[in-house]
Amino acid sequence: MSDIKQGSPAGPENKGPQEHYQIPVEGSLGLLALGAAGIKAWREKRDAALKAGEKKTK
Amino acid sequence: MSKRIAKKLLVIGWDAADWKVINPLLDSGQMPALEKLINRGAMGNMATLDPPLSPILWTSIATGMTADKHGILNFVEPNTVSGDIQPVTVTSRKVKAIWNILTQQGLKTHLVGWWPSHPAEPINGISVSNFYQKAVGKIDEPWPMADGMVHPESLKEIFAGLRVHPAEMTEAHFGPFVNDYRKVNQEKDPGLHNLATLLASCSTIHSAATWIMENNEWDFMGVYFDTIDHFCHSFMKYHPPRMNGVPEEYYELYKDTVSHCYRFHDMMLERYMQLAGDDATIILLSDHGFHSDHLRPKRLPNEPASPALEHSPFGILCMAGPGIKHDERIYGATLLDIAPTILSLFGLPIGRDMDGKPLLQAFSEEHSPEFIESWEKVPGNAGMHPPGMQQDPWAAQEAMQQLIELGYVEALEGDKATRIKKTKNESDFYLARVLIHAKRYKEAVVILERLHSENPAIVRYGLRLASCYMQLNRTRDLRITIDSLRDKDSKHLPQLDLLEGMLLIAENKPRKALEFFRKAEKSVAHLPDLHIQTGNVYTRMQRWTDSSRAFETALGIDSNNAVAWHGAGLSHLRLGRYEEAADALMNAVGLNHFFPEAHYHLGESLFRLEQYEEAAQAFRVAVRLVPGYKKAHQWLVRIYEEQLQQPDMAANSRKFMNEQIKGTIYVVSGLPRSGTSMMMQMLNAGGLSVLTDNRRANDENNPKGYLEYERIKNLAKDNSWVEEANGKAIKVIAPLLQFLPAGYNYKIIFMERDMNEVLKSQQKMLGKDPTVFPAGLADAFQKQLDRTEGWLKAQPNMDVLYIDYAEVVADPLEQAENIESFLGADLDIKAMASAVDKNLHRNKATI
Repeated sequence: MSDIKQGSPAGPENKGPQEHYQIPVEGSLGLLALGAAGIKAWREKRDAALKAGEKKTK
Repeated sequence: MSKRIAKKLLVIGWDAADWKVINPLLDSGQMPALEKLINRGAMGNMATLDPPLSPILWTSIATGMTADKHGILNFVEPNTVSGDIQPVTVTSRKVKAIWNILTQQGLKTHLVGWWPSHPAEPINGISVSNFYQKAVGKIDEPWPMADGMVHPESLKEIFAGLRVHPAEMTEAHFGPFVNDYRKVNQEKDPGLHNLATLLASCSTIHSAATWIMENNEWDFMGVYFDTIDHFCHSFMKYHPPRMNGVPEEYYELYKDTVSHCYRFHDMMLERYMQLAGDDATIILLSDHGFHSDHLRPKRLPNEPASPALEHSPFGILCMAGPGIKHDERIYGATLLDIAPTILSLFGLPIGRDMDGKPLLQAFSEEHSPEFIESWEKVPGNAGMHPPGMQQDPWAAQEAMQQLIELGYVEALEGDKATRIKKTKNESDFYLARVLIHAKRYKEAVVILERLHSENPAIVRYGLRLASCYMQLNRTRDLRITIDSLRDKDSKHLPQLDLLEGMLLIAENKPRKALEFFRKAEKSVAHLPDLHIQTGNVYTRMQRWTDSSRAFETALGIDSNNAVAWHGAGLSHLRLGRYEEAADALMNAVGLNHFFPEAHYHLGESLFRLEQYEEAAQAFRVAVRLVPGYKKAHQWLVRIYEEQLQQPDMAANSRKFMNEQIKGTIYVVSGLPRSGTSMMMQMLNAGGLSVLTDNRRANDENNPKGYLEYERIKNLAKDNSWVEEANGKAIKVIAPLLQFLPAGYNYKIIFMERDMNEVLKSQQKMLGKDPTVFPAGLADAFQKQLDRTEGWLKAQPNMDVLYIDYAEVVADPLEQAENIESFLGADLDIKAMASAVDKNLHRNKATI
């Protein structure tokens, strides 16, 4: 489990991970552990990457 | 109203979390969030209840009541709409849960995933039911939010979007749980699929709970995770040390999966601690543990809820935050204590109908809890469903499927009516187990007798019935049940040998009992109870080396067994190994604080180690638990007066001794000619002083003498002389027992003898024809004996040992051991045995 970052990258302000953390397209356990904010941030990144991929294919 | 201690309270449930897995992770720094929580709070074991089935237990946690009161008795229940069974729903709960009480008090209360909580109750906040997280269909198929998953319904869309589907899980998510996920052969190994499903469910609950905390005010927030339990049921068999029969390939892949699951929970915990803030009080708990060592069962029987056999009896408890002590150990907590503790933290009264107690030992401030008769009688909106509400059976399908896959529920075979009947029987069986756990054996027997007679082939019903008979001392019924089970038992159940052994102990035949325990040991050596019973027999025989070995064996199987630690400690103590004794007894009281004998023997061990302050402390606890614990009071007097020179501290115990207990009188009783004189002779030979005036001389009926005291005949009118009997043995025939004065402890050896023999002997003694059987007299005597037995049971100051005359004649040494053990006096057993003259056993029942 070496790729799991202990603790929350969101910080005590709970602003969400975007400002502090490079969101991997494939997600991470750290983002899941952040809960709603982490999942939202990851889905946005993932969906944006998917859209970009679709555009490229077209 | 009491003072409110918690500004806001977060309760996190980790089903099946166990310190045995957590401790090594804490030691190696792999659970830093939990480490932080422990360091700023109090922690301890959480004793589970029986049966250890999660919906029952989490409802007891939420209500502070046992299942006979709260009504949740199974994983499943009948659905009157479909006529079939469905996963248990919250509408079956008969009493208010803590969130209903808090709702009634106007507190902002949220709840996520509690088992059972579907359909979501209309509480004063958000409620997300335990059906919410179960995914339906493939990722591109509709995943509707069924009615009842979220309250208020207006939030349905938001919560639909917070869910995580298993198909969303990537290698980045499930990969870290497996040592090399690329090596998993997905054609035949469902491991990764299971991981993705469990992780998605867990993330869905976490997502919902964190969203609520990020976006809402709260006084109470409860969130429940079943993930550790489900991970353990799937992957604990691969956890180190490697179990026999687990292929190397699988072991290497999954050996760290359970540990990683705990680490992931620690990461989630970190998030909760952040969101809750420093001003929140946090309670983290589990409902039971999960065997992670050699106690892991190698195979599970084919019966409902058999995965629960993998559960261990102690879960975890950790409390931290405002109002909670720092770095404190909590002793003696049970699941039933959580609801009263939460009420106390909010300064609310506890219902007297709750079965638990507030864990005040963890509170940093003095707190005097208030009580009300029952929260059920407090009117007002408690955020509950209307009575009689039945939920849509189709919403439950996915939850039902998961229960089947986990093995908690049998696959849906046979017709609906059969399934409902089976479910009813299992629920009744669980209710009986709840009653047994509460020591309400008589009520349990009524249920189990029906189940056993209607389902004689289901051995587990009969086994529980037999153990109830054992507890109720119904030895004849126990014998009949054991015999009937032996007829059905094709596998030769060692539990039957264990029960038979216990029956023999009740019949004062410990040597014969040992034979059965040894027999059981040959077929199954991993039952700690077996070795504990063996140890108890050796303890009675004062064979301390043997008893020590038996208890150590029990501890080798289950190191969390307080009774085994106590037995081992007592054996060490009697062998003069005082340090080992103190260590073992510390473990016993650490595991079960409410264990007065263990505190008592700990006190004795510490005294021998000349640690007098600590010894006094142990005896004080024993006295606090049992205020009438005479021997503990005696020790306290001795320690405070002789060792610590604090006579003022001895005053309470001295006063108690003077006022309450004048001493112990050893009584031999029974019908005339039942062997009472023989017993008096045994005691006399063993070195116990006997109160006799020797007025009644020996004769041909009693060649060794009667050892009687003339004034006893007038006991009903004059008991002024009884003080003379203090510390001595005296013969008191059965009808006169009721006239013995209060103020003494009585150790009564009650002689039992075949009624025909008794009457024949009496007839002969009175010069009547011994071949004539006086039937009316036999009936009158029997009624008198029954009355006396019932009366004796109700006397708190009278301990009774029933001794069979024929058994004494057949094996005087064994019975002498039993008697010595019962009296707790230091007697010469061999001399007692040699006082029995087998030639005197003449009037055998031939009438």
